[in-house]
Amino acid sequence: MIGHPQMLAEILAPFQLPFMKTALAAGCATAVVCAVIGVYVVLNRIVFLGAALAQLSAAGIALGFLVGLHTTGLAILLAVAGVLLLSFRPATSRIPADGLLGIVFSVAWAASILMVARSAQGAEELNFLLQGNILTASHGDVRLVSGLLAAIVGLHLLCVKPFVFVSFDPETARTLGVRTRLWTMLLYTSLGATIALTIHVVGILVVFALLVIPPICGLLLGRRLPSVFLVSVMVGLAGVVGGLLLSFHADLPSGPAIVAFLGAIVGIVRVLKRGNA
Amino acid sequence: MRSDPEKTLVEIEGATFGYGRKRILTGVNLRIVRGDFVGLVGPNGVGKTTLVRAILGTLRPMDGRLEYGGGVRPRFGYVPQRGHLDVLYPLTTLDVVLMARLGRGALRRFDAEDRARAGEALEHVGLTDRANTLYRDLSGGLKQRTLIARAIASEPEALVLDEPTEGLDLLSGHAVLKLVQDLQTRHALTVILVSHALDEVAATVRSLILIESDGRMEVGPREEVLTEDHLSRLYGVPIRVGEALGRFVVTPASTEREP
Repeated sequence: MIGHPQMLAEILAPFQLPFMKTALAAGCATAVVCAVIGVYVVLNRIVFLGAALAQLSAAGIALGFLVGLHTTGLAILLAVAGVLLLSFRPATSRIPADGLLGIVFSVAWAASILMVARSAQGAEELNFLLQGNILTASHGDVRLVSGLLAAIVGLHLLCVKPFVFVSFDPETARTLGVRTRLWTMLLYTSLGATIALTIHVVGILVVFALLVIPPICGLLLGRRLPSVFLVSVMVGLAGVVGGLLLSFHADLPSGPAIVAFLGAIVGIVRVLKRGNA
Repeated sequence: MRSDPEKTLVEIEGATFGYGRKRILTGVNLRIVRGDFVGLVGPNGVGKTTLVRAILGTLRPMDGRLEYGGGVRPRFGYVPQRGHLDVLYPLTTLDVVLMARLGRGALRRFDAEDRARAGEALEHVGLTDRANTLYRDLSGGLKQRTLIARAIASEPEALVLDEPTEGLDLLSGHAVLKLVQDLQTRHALTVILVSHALDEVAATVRSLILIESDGRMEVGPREEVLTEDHLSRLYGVPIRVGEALGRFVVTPASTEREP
């Protein structure tokens, strides 16, 4: 029985190990920040924008490996450039929004592969970009992601009303004099920065899953916006804790284990909701 | 400004409106007076939304002149097309109405006055008991009332409604128009009602802006604009205009129409 104290202690024992403690701290901070900003990603139906920005950030890291420059700096630079390019395309553009996202996504992906292919540790670096390795997270990573967490959560506590208004009804917001471009830019830039800063800790796969799956659980289980955010954060944390334990006990790679655990949670939530409908 | 600025809400002279380099409406000349009930009518895709954005001040003229009476943009209460709002958002009716108060400062915390104005607005549209109902769970007619309440909560001088009866059944559509008429009378509002449904607009408004398919406009009192000549040109088929049950009735002279 999982409720048995000794068995529970055995299951949680890996978190006594220093590297697992660091991984847990980095993972939980990443989960919270992604779960918060992911609610906007899902509500604004810009999941594919998240994917494209993640791939652009990965291309920035790959470029950093290739030319020997600061990988996180380049990831942020490309993510912010992507935000500007993708969110403020002219209304009269003949390239549809999802078409432009598709171009950016595929070209950035190909560029990442091509850039790391020139490197001596190409395969290893490509695997790192895709899956990350939360188990190798350093105390510096924890500080970085925790700082990001504080900044993003603070920003969203302060700005939740305009963010929701310009996302829900930009035309009316503009009519009332709310600066929709500024708020949208701030929202998307916080998304780009989140992706760029967390991707080198946990990889594209986990970041993308944390941006999408917990908020969807939040929307399925939460009735109002505050409860959607709360459920999203709780599911994100559960995914990281459960995934890390699964990874340790079953000797599986940590990133895919976290995503698999999140997938199981959303599956259970969906079944429960269908049962209650 | 040539017209009496006290009476004028907005005046547009020789203006062109569009997006990027694309011109949607050219040579626009019109004046809307305060307190009027104006219908903006035309076929789909002719530029009604473009003109609305111009009047609201969210789209600047590419050339020509647009000026507000007294030189100050009036406070507009805007009611967007219901279908443009995503029902994925878990917002209550009250949440939606309170958004109107963010026009006074996007970062402000809602105070007692904000809540009082939102409560009054919900009362005006008969939704007090639905304040905590999720917006997405409301019927089409009640969603429309919520959006009208939000517009009222911004304490507007003018109300602009974009296709407010689109997708509503006969009774709900009539109820919404009756509500708008009541609000216009009670608050002495200027109302601009955008619709492609000429019949309902003709029965409700005092003035008309009729945009023809080639972009030409007829502007004036309803009786002057709503002529068989104008409408036949607008729709490209002979149109008859008459009165029944004390209301304007507009109908094609022949019911035959190419599919």
